[in-house]
Amino acid sequence: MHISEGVLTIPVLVGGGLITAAGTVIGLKKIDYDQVMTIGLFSSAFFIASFIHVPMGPTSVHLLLNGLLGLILGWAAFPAILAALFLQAVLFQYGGIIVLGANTVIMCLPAVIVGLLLKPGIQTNGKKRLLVSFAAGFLAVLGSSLFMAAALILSNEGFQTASYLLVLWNLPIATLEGIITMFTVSFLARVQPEILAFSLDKQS
Amino acid sequence: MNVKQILAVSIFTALLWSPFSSSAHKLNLFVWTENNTVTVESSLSGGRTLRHGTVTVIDTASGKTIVSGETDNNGIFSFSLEQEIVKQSPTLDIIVSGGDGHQAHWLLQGDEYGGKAETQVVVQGPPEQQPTAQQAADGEGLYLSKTEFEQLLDSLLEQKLAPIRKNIGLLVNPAPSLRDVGAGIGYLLGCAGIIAWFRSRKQNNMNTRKGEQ
Repeated sequence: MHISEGVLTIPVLVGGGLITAAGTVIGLKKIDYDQVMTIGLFSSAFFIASFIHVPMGPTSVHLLLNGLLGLILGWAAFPAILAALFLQAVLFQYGGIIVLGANTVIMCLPAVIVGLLLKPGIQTNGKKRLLVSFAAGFLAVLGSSLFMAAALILSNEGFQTASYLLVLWNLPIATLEGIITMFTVSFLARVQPEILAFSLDKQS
Repeated sequence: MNVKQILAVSIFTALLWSPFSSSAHKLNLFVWTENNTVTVESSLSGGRTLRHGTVTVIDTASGKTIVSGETDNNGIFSFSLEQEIVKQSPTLDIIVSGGDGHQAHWLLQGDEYGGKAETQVVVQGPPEQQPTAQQAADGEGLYLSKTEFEQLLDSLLEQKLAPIRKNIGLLVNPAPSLRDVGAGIGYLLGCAGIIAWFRSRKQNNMNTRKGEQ
């Protein structure tokens, strides 16, 4: 889900850059120094998740984990995802530096919105937490594909058909992401429940 | 295993096998030439070939699109260059688009395809080396001009070098190594550690000042 350089138009790139800058500033302002390592860990998890391809049949899928980051880190997901995407662009030429802002918005903004809305839900127990975690993972990926489609449509009308398909293509990935987010949150609730209170305690 | 578990596993497997599931980070592109035929091969990160990707070839000198088409099921698109283009030998910008925000460029320089200036020098051999009429008819002792010999040599070399060029192209787009991934994690955690250290030091200094007051 990394848009390559040369695809988006300048207004979309500038818009993406500005939103990313604003989101990162908000995120950095909300970070307390004792949260930095947790953010670094989640940023690393996002960085690695993109490399985990599951070759199955004629295709392969990979994880994003943006829903998990939005759910746990809230606004702090902006600097976390920005740093991971920057390294992916520099080390592996995924996306690119010019399109970094737009890619960050695509992957981060839906995750932050979903995270802020659903954050209280993970403080509950049982099935509600599972359902909320699944919804966060699912909706974040779906939101990202919608944002990506919007960026492509705004840049070039020729991408319109492909953009509609893009949303459909990402439905299975969104479902997978939801399942994985659900299990991850459930696991964190058992082994390190304080992480789930991370953003609620420090940032609200 | 109860019905719910079987259902969950079935859905999970179906999702992974879904032909619509696709996600990638990067479009890899490799172009090689054999005489005046250009072959474009593209694949997505993760190893999948790019099916029905749009290929556009632009003459960078004039800015005109000279060829366009789609990759086949193997992610390959081949085209022959017109003689006029070959003579002019402009740099060609080959763009492959996956249509989902993935795009890759490859600049094909003029000297990489058969667009070499043709020399008009024709070397005449001594009369005693000229083939007889019977030998020429049989293809024996055929006497080639310098130009013809160079063209023949170029053609043979192109055929032999094509697979080597393809392998070089694969090396140009290597898959991320474990070392690079480790380096990325190291950067992220290292930077977080440095920031945390600075901020905790600042906090300690503030606490010390408060204590002194």
